Amino acid sequence: MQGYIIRRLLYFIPTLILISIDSFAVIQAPPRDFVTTLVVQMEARGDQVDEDLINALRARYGLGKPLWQQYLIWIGNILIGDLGVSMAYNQPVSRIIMDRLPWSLLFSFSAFLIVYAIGFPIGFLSAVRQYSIADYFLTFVGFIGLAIPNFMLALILLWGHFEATGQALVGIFSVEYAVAPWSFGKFLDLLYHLWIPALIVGTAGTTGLIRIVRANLLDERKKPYVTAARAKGVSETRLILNYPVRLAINPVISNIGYVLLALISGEVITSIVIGLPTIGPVLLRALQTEDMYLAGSIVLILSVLTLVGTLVSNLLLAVIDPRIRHGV
Amino acid sequence: MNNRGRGILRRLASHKSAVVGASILLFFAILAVFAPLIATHDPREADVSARLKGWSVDHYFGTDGVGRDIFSRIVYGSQVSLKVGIIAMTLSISVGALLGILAGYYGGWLDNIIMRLMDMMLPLPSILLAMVIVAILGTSLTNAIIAVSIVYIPQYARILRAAVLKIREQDYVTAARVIGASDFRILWNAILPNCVAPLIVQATLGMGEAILIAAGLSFLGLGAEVGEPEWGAMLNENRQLIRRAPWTVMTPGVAIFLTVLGFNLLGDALRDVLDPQLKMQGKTR
Repeated sequence: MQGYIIRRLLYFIPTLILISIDSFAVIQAPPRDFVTTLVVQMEARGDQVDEDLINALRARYGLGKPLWQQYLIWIGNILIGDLGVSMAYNQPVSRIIMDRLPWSLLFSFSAFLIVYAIGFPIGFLSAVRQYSIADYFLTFVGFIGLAIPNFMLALILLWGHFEATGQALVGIFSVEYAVAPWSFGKFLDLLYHLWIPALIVGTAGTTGLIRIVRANLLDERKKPYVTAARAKGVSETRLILNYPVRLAINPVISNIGYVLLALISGEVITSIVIGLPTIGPVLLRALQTEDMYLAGSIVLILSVLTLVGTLVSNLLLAVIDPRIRHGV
Repeated sequence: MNNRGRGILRRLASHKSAVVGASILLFFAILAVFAPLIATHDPREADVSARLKGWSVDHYFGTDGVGRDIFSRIVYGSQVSLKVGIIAMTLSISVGALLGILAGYYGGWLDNIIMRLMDMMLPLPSILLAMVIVAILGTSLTNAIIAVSIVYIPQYARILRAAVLKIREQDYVTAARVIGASDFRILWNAILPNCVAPLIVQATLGMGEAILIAAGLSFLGLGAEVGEPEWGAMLNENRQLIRRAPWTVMTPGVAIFLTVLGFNLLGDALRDVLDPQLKMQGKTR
């Protein structure tokens, strides 16, 4: 088992480096460099352009040096927590991200919970009651869920909510609670605002999960050991729970990586539509305004999170499935 | 068509989902190909006096915020969407398959380099990657297509590489090499035909997703240009109007939904017929 863990960790690090190269490419992408753009913007605003400041910035971010040196400087800066400055927001990138990252995580995590809490039982039910009306209905819903574009779903649900309650479900808190200190009421308000977006983002993942769980359970049921156990008189419930489910969990967990990817993609678009204070809208604006340090850092952080999630899922898989542990 | 092909088609036809999916796609294909004949108005012609009209005999699906006929926009939109799907997938498959085959067949350092390149793209969520590529290249439909195709390259590379690795060890490949067949000939005649199955499945499902991503990009303002009859862009233009004129938003949305549904149904049925193993590993992407 140790061997497996070590191998996974070793694999993780080069991929991390590759991602950082990706993000660095994002930052370097626009034709003008960061400081030049800053100068142009400052002049447009009529601010004083301080020569010393400009030179200091250039030195700090290593512009003008060969690319690989810039890369190392950038990495060095990241490790001390300096992710650059956002020009549109006029703040250090790290502050912007830290303001919003907790919400993004909360949001993605709720969607994640929904996917597995709803998806797994439904898939299970679907398999156990194969070919029943419930099965066909759920499969049908599953296809629909996969095909609906989540931005459209977001719009529709927003609209529906507005028609039903007369209030716009924008943002994470209602007006009354927005600046109030934390209280139980505020917490409930948060949940109330959270469930629709989480549901939207989770839809595609849930339907995917349902189909995987169903397919695996169905396949396991046909295996000889199940028939043998049934012949010995084991009750149906115990039969299903003890054996096929254990095996069906395997692909479920190994797919956590894909689910995370889908969740993050979904979260970006949905929060743009609904106006949640998460990372999505910020990324969009950053890309539109060529605010490259912000964009690159966001890409980096989201990718790293996904990678960490995948790593965790791989390790979890090793814990649960002895076949993987011993390298079969 | 040889017997094997006919058998596959027969099994495919027995899947209800395949029939439904194929019908939907056929419907949209007809719309796309015969768009000039089917559309009632010019999709870009704005008649401000007729803004936000509901469904009527003049305008089957009503008009949008600046008076353009929605029905015609949807019809031409199918042209755009299918174009996006087909071009993006073709590009993606060509590049991805080539890389995958090279990596699998030659192995060694070539394999390593190519796989590391693919690994660089995989951890990035698809929308993110697409957004970034469009931001770098500039906002346009062409760039959106390029972005989408790049996003899917790693998947095809992987599929092809796995298939090639599996087949490379077979006896008939060794036999072919022994009698002196060139590498290219071996690849073309022996290996490629066996890779086709997962490729077809992935391509079908991928087209649906490509259209979804492209619509998403247009929705965010990063894809189709203003005024172009693209379904995602239509959703974006009219999203403020959803209360006063829901049809402006619902019709393109439903169009996207149906198209993606069609591809998903067909792709799923294809997967059942061609390789049931894929279903359980959850390769839904």
